[in-house]
Amino acid sequence: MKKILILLTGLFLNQISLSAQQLTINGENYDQKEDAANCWQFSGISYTEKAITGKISLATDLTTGAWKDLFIKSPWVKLKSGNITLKSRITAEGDKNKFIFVAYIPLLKEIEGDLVEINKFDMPSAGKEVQSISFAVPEKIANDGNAYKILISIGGDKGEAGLLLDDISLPATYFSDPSNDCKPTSVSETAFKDDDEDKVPNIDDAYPKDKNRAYDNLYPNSGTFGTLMFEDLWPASGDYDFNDLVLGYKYNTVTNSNNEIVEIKYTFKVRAIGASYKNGFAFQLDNILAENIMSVVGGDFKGDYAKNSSNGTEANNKMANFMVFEDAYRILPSPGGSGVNVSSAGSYVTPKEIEMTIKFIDDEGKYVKLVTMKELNANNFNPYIMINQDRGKEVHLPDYLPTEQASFKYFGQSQDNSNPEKGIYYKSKNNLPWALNIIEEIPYSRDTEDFLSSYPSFGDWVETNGEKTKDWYLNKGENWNLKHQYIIK
Amino acid sequence: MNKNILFLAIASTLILVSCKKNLQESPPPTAPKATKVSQLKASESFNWKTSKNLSLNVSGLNTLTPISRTLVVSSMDGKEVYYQSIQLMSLTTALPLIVPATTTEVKVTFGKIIKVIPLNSASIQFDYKN
Repeated sequence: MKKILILLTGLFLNQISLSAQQLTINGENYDQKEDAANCWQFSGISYTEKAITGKISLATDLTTGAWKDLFIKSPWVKLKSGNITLKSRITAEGDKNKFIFVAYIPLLKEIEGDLVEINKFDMPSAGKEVQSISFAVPEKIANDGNAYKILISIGGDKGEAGLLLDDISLPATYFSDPSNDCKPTSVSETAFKDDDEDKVPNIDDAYPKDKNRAYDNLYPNSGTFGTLMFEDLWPASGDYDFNDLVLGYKYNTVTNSNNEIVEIKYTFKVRAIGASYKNGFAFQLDNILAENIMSVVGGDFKGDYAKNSSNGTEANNKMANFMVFEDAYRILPSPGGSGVNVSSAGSYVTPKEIEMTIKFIDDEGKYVKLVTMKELNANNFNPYIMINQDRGKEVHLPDYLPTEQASFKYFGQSQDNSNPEKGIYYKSKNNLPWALNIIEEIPYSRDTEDFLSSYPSFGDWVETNGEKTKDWYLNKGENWNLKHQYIIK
Repeated sequence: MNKNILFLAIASTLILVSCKKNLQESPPPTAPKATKVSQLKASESFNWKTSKNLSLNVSGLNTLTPISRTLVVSSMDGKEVYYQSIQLMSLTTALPLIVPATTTEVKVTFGKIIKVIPLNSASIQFDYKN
């Protein structure tokens, strides 16, 4: 066992040593595009199974009579003392005047300088023996710390068969950046400066001085509001104007360099109330444990029908639940009568925004568990209303889970056709919902105006399983019918 | 007898022609288009989402030195960012994306490498090669 470990360690160190001091290309990956992506340049060269060593070699096209049409150019490297070596053979007997020309190219700022010849090897015209070719790296550039490219060019009379090349090896360390147009790594180090050393360069880092934060991930992605629309007569079907509560929502998921979520900053905008009930609003993060939340800042919940734990999540829930407000009418008071911003006759009330930040890590850097955006994204956002402040009477988006506080007695009542065993929730017998989530901020129906009147293409979208009129909510063509929508005067 | 057979043949032909004509002139009745939401019938499997879930399968590149950059998936104009994270270029991985259902292509950026990926299926591919 000990011997195997020593052997493996030796092999590993050998690989590191080779990769650090020797740059090789031999085609054995049989993936010329991969080598090109690693900044090798080819002109008139292709990989072939006619191998000199191994299974693959590099073959040139027919020679052109010029010396610079067929070549392999290395990535930027730092050259060491030693020899540039390669193997080659002719592919057709009798072809004359074939040669291999090797040169180096210095770096001038960010571009290639003039090439300087290292040596030239004339290939024999008879016999197909493999030639082992070796040129010393000029002393003046070996170990000088500067970046160079090595050019291996193949010349010969026009129209004659080309050469096979293999096992090209340079005594050098790699100094190119495949992600930056193959420029020298030194250029990338400047371009991708990273002040907080979190591995996210300043140009990409929304928080370049904060190593615990790196990216702002907006949803909806445009940075504008999405729209949530609710019907509140559940489990009875309502009038389908979907304006009993109309809310804008958007949030920014702040992640660190490990793609872990540090905090989520929500903004909700109460736009309209077309209900007589005093509905509350909350949301659950599905599959995210309440204990993972360190604290909650903001929100505007002042009701007594729900209690929060010390970390700001609603108490007695395994999953993280957040109470946003207890009564939409307290947030957006009616200017008179029932409803706000749904009747053409009433005066307009400026929508009210509520902010709420959920923190997964505290100010001292402590956390219970950090989740990534693979585990927590827009799919986990589960908003719901609590009808007339009845904590157990929740209305969610179709097929989204009720919370632990939801009363199951309503399921299957009246028009509701939920089937918890099948994972079907908040759908009618015709599979119609009581809530909609639209990824854009869109107008809503005036009070009692059927939603289909406001959005005539909505029906095709629904009845074709979302295949047709996917853009039913966008303002183009005849998608919007302004006669039935609430217009701000 | 022959007269009867002739009569039957003519009558049968007329009936058949008549039936065919009726078939051509009377398309099957279609349900009237719904004018109210309550008249709609959705499929049980309909998810009611105006967004769609995708998986971006990133094929890693065997690099000679470790290269990490921010991989960004965005709309074509770059204004809507659907995904961003630091990514090791050699790593093969699958990244979750949620994009508007109307989106037909996305732009993937990794340093100076930029590719446009059409959204032909729920599983799309990206590699660093040209």
